[in-house]
Amino acid sequence: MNMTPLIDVTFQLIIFFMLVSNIIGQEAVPMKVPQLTDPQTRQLGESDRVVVNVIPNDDAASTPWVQVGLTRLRSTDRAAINEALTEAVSNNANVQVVLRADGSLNYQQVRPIITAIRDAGVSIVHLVAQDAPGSPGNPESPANADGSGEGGTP
Amino acid sequence: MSGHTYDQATLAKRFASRRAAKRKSPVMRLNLTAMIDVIFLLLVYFVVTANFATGEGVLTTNLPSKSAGDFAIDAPPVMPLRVYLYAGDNAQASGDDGYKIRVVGQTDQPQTISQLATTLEQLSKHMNTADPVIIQPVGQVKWEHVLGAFNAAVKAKFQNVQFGEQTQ
Repeated sequence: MNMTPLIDVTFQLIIFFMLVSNIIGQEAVPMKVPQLTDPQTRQLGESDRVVVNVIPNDDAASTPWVQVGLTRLRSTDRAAINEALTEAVSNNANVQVVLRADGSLNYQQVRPIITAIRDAGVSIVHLVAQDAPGSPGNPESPANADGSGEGGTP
Repeated sequence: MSGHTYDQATLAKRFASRRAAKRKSPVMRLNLTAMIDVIFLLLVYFVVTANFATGEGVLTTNLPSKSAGDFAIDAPPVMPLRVYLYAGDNAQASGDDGYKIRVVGQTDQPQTISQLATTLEQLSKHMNTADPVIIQPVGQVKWEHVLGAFNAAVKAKFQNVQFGEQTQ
């Protein structure tokens, strides 16, 4: 039996998964996203997305970091954040913006980033929370039931 | 001419023995079994880790256009339902992590996010769920609580949940 095509395909799959897992790891910075009671979260479909991470600083009093895609910036550097967001959004009109913020941050620290996303021309933002244990995307939630992809919004 | 002469029978015997020797000689073959085993193990590992990498989901919200004002709603058809979240320092904290909730127009105020969900579910039975719900954090409220309140409104089947402008 000629095993060459099988090995070729398997290698391609391994390379694919290695690359994808690297990208996921780099974009989704390790942090404690909010853990909600009975989360109504859903899984975002396969589409182009920009992940915006708001990362708490080790020194709690300091300003958090903001990572737009793979670019890490100071949250005080509004101009750079706006520029990075505008660039990410302008390249693809259908891009979805995902906001990952650590649950320990204050709303005061997250809100400027939401404002910056809005200022970049984005009208819908996806807020990341922990899924319910053992519930992949909570498909029974009302946010998923209508299939509109709008969560708790029209 | 050489001094050696061979008859046909001798030559045939020699060629036959050479052919037989050729047939018996070992052929070099690469044993791929071990490599394929390792490759499949790697494949299974990456498939499994890629599936369980995040464990996160999203709640989706609309951001009003810039011209509509800072987090103001676009021409609300009715008065929005406002849910205020106070930080522990701004009010007598009664939540489990130093926060207080006030739902405008309610006498019995919820004490926790779980109770807020119950309150909003009761309200949604008498309201149009398309009416806007504004989550209004006051002071240094944790993002976890703000998103918890948002989640409670979504759970109550409100379809238009937004964040209000933060006040100090």
